[in-house]
Amino acid sequence: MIRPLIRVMLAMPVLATGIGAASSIARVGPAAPACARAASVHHAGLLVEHGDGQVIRRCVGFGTPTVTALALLQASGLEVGTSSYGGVLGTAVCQIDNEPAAYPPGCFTASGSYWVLFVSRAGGAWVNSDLGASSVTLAAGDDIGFRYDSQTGADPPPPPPAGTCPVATPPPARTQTPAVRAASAPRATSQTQATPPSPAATPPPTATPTGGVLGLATPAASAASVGSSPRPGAPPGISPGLLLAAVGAGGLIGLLSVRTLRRPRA
Amino acid sequence: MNPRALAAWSLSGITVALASGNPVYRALVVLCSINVLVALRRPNVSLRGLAIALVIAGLIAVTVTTLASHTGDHAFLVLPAAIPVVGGALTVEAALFGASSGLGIAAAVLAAAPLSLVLLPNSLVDALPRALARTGAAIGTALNLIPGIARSATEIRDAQRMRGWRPRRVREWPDLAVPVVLTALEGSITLAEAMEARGYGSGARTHYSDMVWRGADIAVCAVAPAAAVAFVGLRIVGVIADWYPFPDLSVPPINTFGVACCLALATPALVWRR
Amino acid sequence: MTVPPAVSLTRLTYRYPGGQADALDVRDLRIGDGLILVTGDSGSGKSSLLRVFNGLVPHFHGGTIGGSALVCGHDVNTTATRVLATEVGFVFQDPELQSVYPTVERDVAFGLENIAVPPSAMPGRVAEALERTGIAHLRDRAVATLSGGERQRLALAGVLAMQPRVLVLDEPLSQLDEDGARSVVAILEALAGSGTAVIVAEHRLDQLGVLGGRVLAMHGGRVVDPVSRAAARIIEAPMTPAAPYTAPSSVAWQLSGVATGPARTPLLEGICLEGRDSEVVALVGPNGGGKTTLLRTIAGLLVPLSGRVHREPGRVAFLPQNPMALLHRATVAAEVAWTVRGDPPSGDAAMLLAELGLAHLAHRDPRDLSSGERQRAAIAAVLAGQPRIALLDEPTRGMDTTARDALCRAIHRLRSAGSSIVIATHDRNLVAAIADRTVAVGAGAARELVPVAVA
Repeated sequence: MIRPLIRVMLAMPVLATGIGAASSIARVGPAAPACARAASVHHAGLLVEHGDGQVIRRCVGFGTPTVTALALLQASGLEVGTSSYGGVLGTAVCQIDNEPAAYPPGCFTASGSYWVLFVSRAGGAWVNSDLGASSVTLAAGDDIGFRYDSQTGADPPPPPPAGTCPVATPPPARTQTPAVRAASAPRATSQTQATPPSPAATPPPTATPTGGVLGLATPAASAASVGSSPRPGAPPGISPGLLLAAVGAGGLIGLLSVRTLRRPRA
Repeated sequence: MNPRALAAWSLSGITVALASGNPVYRALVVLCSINVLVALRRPNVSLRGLAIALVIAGLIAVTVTTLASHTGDHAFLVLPAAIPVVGGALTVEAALFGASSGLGIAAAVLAAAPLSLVLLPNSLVDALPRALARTGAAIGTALNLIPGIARSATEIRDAQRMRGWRPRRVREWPDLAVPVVLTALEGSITLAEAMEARGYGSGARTHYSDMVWRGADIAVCAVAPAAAVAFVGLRIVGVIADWYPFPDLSVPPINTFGVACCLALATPALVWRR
Repeated sequence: MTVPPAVSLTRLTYRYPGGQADALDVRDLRIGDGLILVTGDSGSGKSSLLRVFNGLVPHFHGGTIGGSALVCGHDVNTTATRVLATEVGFVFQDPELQSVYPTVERDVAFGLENIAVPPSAMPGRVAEALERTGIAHLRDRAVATLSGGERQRLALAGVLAMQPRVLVLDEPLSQLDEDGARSVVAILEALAGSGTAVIVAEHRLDQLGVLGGRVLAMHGGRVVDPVSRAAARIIEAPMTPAAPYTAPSSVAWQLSGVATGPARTPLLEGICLEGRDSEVVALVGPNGGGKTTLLRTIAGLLVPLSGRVHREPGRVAFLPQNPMALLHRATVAAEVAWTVRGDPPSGDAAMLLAELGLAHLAHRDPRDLSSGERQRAAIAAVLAGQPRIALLDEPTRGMDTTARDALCRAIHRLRSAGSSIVIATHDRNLVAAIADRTVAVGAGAARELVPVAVA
């Protein structure tokens, strides 16, 4: 009776360690923050809903701990038109992706549509922003939404941001990438990041295929790269590392089997 | 087998196991550690309990990660999304990530296991620095008393059972607990008396240096930490990368130097003999 | 006499802290080289006297000491135990409660570390001590794997490494089986012959009887008769064997084809034994051979790996190896009463206490009694009532003569009342005195020993 009790008591720490370690590494909940071991590159989701319902999703990376919504929008590669009110009032967003085709210098018409700003903190629901685009600051894991809305009727939020930036995208350990950088040719691995990765999330109507995250950036525009990893891409043939690992593992397993067979003791 | 060299090796193994998230390196550390354990464990020690515990921990890691993280493209099962945490697609990527984490746990535990399965329980206490030598002696004697106390507890329990004692109510536990505690106390006083009779007390002490540093010990103590430091250095520089199954499944990147560092951890199994 | 005596006590008195009376009252005692045997019942002051020699009394145990005690020129009262340890080595009763480090070689060096011997000199002294005690071949072994006799020799080596002038041993043989005891005795004989003063307190005089030397008989804290060996013979009177019980009786317990062992692997196999009412069966054999395992199997505490165990209904009394550990209630009477709580009230328990000489101690706390009285109290507590089967595991271990006689009386009484008794022991005197049958247990089997016909 005593011995099984002692065994259970000793097994508990092992199990607890296993569970603790596992759960700290596992993602719990669909909107968990990015992997704890994320390198310095941060991401936030950008969602733009045109007046006709067309939705553009971008996952935009930035290197500083926080970034303003305006800077994020500008780094996304979309066309942006702004109007500065100067000083404390900041800058307003007048045109995104060429909508509206034209706007007055003051940015807003008396009764026309305008770009409404929504903020989702850490994967939560959309909330109307009470600050302007140049004042709202975002951190990694937040999402920003722009909806071209007429001033009449209800003011619904854009489609849910879930999946814009994949939940478990721990970026590879790379050195700091600046928020604004001329992107080189699209990397093979970053391609899938903008597509909603989990079919489980409520499938948003992505009318616009977003193809290549930011790889489409034109050389002149400011485009953020999402910590493109210099993975060796397609390994050409057998790498020496793989060979060495295979030989080493084989040797160790052989040594192990020899020792185990030579040890017939009780 | 110098206890301090083995301790240095264990630390190096744990460092390498946890420094990168790459399952290839972790698997190599596991293989090296298993080799060390099998080659050098004490004669009557069974590795079965350890193996079972690690398998269970690995299964927990895989299960929890698969059920809670729904990222990845290759789903093998989709649970209704209405279920709070578990609902959603169960993906191969998540399972692989869980397996990789489990491998990391196994590697770290196996690297630490020789400290208790290869060395005698008090040898590690003996490996403490000189300043703590008296503490080491005290801990060592406490460890010596434990088997005796366990045996006397079984004896007392048997004897009380024969007298009709049945542990039905909490009130009856003192019939077992009090004699065991008293026996333990008396035993420790007797041992203290014996230690005092052999001159243990305050005052100057010398140290019996039976901890010899043979060539093999120096080799292990030099190679293993060097490998760990090199591995961490490669990690910092970026040559050794983590591996994640998302966003897309890919073969883990394998770097030759990293592999060499991991294989260097097999040194104790090669140079030491039981 | 140019060489001063190693030990010189003059008008020494000692009282334990909180003690009612003096534990020691020695007028005059001189001890030189050679072997000295200290005898006496428990409570006679033997242990206290021995501990004066190395300063444990008064420095470890406290209390008040009067008079003068000189050991190798040091005044015990004012000299630290650490200094006295370089001149006086002490070996205790329990082989398992003397080692500090896990390996033999390291443990022997423990004493040398304590007295700050330079590290360069240590290996030589350790090797010499291992040679003198005959355990040089065990040098690299783990202490936990040694037998009782080997561990006691290890303790001796640890003490001899410090090269003491006087060697004191407090009942070193009581926990050992025959082989172990013999090996230790051989070493003591060699040491006594080579100029060390060896002072031994021991009940098992039959082992030491072969040695020459002085005998110190103690009683009530006083040295009764320091030189007469005749006194020793009176104190250790042999027990009178009881008349064999020849009437046929029914079987009380039976083992058929039993294989049993403490773990999964069998220690004993193919055991076919039975015990009858009013019969005493003695199990003899080396330590670790399976005597305790067999007793526990008969008691039902150990389930046999194969075979069948049958016990007639009725209470089974089990006396473990360290019965004093069982006593924790407020009084001796309470302990006895608890054992017989299920039985109909009878005067049996009181009679048992009286037989064991504990009638006047029935209302005392067991922890306040001397070790011999505690042992008897434990026997009373376990054997009270009328057990159908009584199983005793090494009951005379460390027992003084009075306790041993009391035990024999209790066993006789149980036997005449119809109990079936099994005793595991390596005490040959006990076996000769009370056993009807003898079974040798060891090497995986139990063989009945046919008694040699007495001429």
